[in-house]
Amino acid sequence: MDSSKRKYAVFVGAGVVLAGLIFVLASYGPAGLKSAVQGAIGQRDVYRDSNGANLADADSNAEFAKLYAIGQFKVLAGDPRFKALASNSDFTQLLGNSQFVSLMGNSQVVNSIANVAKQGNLQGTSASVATQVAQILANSQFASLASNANFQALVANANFQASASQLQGAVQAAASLNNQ
Amino acid sequence: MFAGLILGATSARAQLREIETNDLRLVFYDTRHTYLAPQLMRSFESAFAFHERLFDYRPDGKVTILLEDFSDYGHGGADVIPSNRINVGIAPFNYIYETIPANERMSWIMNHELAHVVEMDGSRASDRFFRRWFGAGLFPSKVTPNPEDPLSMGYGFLTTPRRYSPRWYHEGLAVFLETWMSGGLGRALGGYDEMVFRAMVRDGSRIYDAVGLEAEGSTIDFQVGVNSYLYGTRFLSYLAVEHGPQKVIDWAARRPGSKAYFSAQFRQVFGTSLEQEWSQWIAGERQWQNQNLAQIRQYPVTPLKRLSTQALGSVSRSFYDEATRKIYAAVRYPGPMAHLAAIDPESGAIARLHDVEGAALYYVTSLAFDRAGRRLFFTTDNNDLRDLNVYGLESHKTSRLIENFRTGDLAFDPVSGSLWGVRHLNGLSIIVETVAPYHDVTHRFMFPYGTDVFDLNISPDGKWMSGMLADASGRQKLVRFSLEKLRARDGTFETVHDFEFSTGGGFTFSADGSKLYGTSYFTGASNIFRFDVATGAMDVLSNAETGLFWPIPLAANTEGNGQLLAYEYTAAGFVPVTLDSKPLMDVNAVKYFGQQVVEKYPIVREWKLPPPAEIDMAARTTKAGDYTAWRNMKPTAIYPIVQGYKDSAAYGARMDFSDGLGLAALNFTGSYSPDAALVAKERAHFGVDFRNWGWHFNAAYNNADFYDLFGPTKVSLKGYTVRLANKKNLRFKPPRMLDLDWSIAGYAGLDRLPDYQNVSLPIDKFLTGKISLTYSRLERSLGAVDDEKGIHWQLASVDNYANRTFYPRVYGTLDYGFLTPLRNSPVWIRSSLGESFGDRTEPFANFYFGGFGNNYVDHLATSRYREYYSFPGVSIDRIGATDFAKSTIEWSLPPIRFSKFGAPYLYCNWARLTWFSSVLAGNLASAPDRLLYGNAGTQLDFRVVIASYLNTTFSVGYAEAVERHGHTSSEVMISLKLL
Repeated sequence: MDSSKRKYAVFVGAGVVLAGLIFVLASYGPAGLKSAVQGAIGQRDVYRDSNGANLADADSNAEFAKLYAIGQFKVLAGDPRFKALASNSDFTQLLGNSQFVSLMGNSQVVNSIANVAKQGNLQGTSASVATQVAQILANSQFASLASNANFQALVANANFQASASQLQGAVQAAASLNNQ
Repeated sequence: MFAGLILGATSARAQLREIETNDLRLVFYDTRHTYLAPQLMRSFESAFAFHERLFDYRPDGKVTILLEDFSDYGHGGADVIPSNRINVGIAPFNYIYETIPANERMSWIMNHELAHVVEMDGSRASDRFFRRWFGAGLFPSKVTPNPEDPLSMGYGFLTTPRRYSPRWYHEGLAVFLETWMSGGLGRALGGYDEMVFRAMVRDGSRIYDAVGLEAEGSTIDFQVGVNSYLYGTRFLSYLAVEHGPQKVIDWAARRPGSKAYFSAQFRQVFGTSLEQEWSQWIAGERQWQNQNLAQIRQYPVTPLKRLSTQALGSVSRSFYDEATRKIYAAVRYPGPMAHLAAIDPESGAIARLHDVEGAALYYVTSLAFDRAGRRLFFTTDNNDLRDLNVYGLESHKTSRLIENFRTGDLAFDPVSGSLWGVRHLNGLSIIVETVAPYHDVTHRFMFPYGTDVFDLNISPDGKWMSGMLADASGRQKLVRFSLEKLRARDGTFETVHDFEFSTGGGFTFSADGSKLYGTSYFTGASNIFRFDVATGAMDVLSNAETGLFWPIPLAANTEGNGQLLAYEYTAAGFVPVTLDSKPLMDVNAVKYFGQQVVEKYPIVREWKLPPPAEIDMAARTTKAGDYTAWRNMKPTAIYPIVQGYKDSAAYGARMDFSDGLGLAALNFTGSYSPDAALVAKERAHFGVDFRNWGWHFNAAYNNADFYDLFGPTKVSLKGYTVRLANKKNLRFKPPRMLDLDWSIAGYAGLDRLPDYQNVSLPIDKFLTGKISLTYSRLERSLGAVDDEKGIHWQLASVDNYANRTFYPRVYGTLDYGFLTPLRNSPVWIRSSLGESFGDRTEPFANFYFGGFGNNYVDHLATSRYREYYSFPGVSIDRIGATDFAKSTIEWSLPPIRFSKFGAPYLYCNWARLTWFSSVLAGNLASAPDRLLYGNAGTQLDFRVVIASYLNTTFSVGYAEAVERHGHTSSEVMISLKLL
């Protein structure tokens, strides 16, 4: 037998073996590889074209928190007091300061600033003010930031004081957008 | 509705929060639900954009969506007045019988509910003209029909005409669109829908016309309101097949040149009347189903032996008890309340074991059987938050084990004695176990969102649990869990069979645990399948004409085959049958009517929405923060009103404000009586009414009322009124409700008592306070037109303070009702007692009785004779007493339903006759002043529906009364109750 005939016989033989293998698998294999139905059982012919899974999962809450922060930021961005603040050069420079962004993500610090500002406006000198100030000063990020001239100017800004609590959400949103 | 749900389902006023896009305001109250928000928001944006294009829809405001978990199965609801809003119940759906698809449900709900919003809210130029008109040109207005000012019914139609279409139209359109928007995963291509109509044709049952469907068809059988979905979907699919899907959209869209009323627009689009086309559909439906039946009958149809002559309506999973040779199941069919039943397969006799409170439409209750312990575990409140109960088959006693169990698909493990189930919590499916004494629940495995498991069954050896597993693509598998692994929080499973997009269900282990018997729509009809658990080999055991469900293997013969108990679907509901458990080799597939739509008009493939994951929600989010109802109130309508003041007419206007969820509402009314017979200071009338959560404040000056224009009862009131009231749900567990209400009101410048129109006052100002505790547990059987069973009681104190004198009064009422053997025919016994602690000569110190109390035109309760202060046969306020005891017995005859009495825009759907008789004794503490009255009367009510949604009731009544000395009097009552 010449080589071409031998090659032809090998191909045919392999084809037969393969066909036999498929037949055996189809007849005796696990249910997932074949229609498990015995006999001539008709299957309904119905149009189905599913999108598959587009799902909420464990990360969805994190995404929602981000969307929520963006929503809060956009509310804040529409606030006239914030608009005035946004035009303040001290503020815009601080937005680029990573320490500031990190600090504004700390709710305790932001609340303390807001409280101090509020009570300062009332010209009160109560023990609670001292406590709030102590909390701020105890924060290492604040200690570092406090020497920043922009920050010093900003804290004295009335618009900043009015927007301090809202600012927390805005900064978080800005930070999360930067991380995208 | 939203306010009631939120108030009821939350123990305290919830802190609502919102997140918005340009078209959406999503409100939520629980951060455990927000993981669904991104998926929901994307699905909204995707579906809304599609509907905008398809319907040429122009929104004039955001759609407010409330994300809630108020019940154990997912649901949705939509309305467009006064603003567009949807509520989304986040729980997994109930996939039983393929009555709903299993694909991702946030997308599915948005596809369906936004179809409602867009088709109801669609407006052409004339609608927008009226929206501006009733917004005084300042804001777009969609007037809400208000019973207090019924002219608003007409205004409502002018601003949102398509809202006033029948339910089958709304639901048919939404289901039709939901199916194609989801790539065919919807009820227009559902096995259950196909089976319902095949059974109707096979059984020769009536297929209703469009009027008959709403008037009778959607109330008379076990499926009640679902018939609107079934018929509507079928009819719209027929229209799409015959005329093309675009014609269906042309009918529903409110484009320039379109007709306001849905049936007028039908004629314009299709060139024929709705009635004619509906008739042709019915003829075509019969032909289609006869072809399908012929296809099934090409091979031998499985012989079924019916065990009961009576169809059982809906049935639960059932169990055969070899010890007593009885079948235990829960059933729900027209007539009695849903109940646990013991069915004798020999005689077909059905013994009623215990009523199931809060039965579900299709599965009635989740039922599990402890053979050794001789008890049935079952769930109640199945439409809200489910409770776990147990019924002793020997003791015949029932006790509640766990309230708010939130778990169903129960399966009892005979080896360990524990009870397993699937809990739905925060939108997730959780396999749970509870062990004796069944008071605590242990979470064994929580599936990720989108994967749901149902129809659990446990093998006799207590090692394996089978269940159907659905994923978010809509695919379903029969799977097997190891109980040992589940107890170790390992939820891995073996797939016994992948049904792809066919719903399987009701699988149960054979006695040796080697096989699983259940059903699937694999062939199009629901047939019984048997799987070898080890190999996955599948046998088809039936060739059913309609569908078979809930198979249970009975004793097997030597070949492993034997008898099966199952339930055959018929036009009247499910019927228990037995059949041979013998593998078949040939079963033909049936065709689905909806499939013709996609084959004939492939364009519906293009309606499938792309995966919403691509939508950038960060760019679309516009706002987030707290949601405060009263701060979100906006003006919703200004419209002219007519009122009655004493015997004069007054003309004026009303202005409404509301928030997007309906939690807060404010309205102002002002009118003027030009009647010269009135003194000048009584001609002007003003009112303000404000509601926020459970609070209610109202004030009025010369209070006027539309219904004082008609009939004997007057509520208009001279002078000033200021009132503050509060309602608190002490217990919100429908149907069990306990409410605490209090109010305080001040009056000045009066000329009569506010609640007693015929009692004049010696003074012109006083204060009144009321506090009441009210409990109700009221239930209705299928097809009811009123409450039919239960208890209702109230303890109240109404105290007046006038002229520096305090006039305390207390009273209590107790109503108890039960069903007679006649369908929808209850008997009620209503009793009341009262005591006043003031001087009998003082008007403030008396209770007054008399009259039916209905006006010729009215908006309050139709059966006013039930109130403790009414006494038909005697004129209004004729009887006065400082103490009283009253008892009424009332019997309502079965309502007569009309299937052909009117047109789509006006039809009568039922009439009901009631007999009643009362005895009233007053001034019991004083023999000389003692009063004794008796009466007997009847009332006939006709329910008339205007423009599909506006229920009105025409009533006539007659009563005769007799007092202790033999004096008699009579009264005739005629009344038309609006809305």
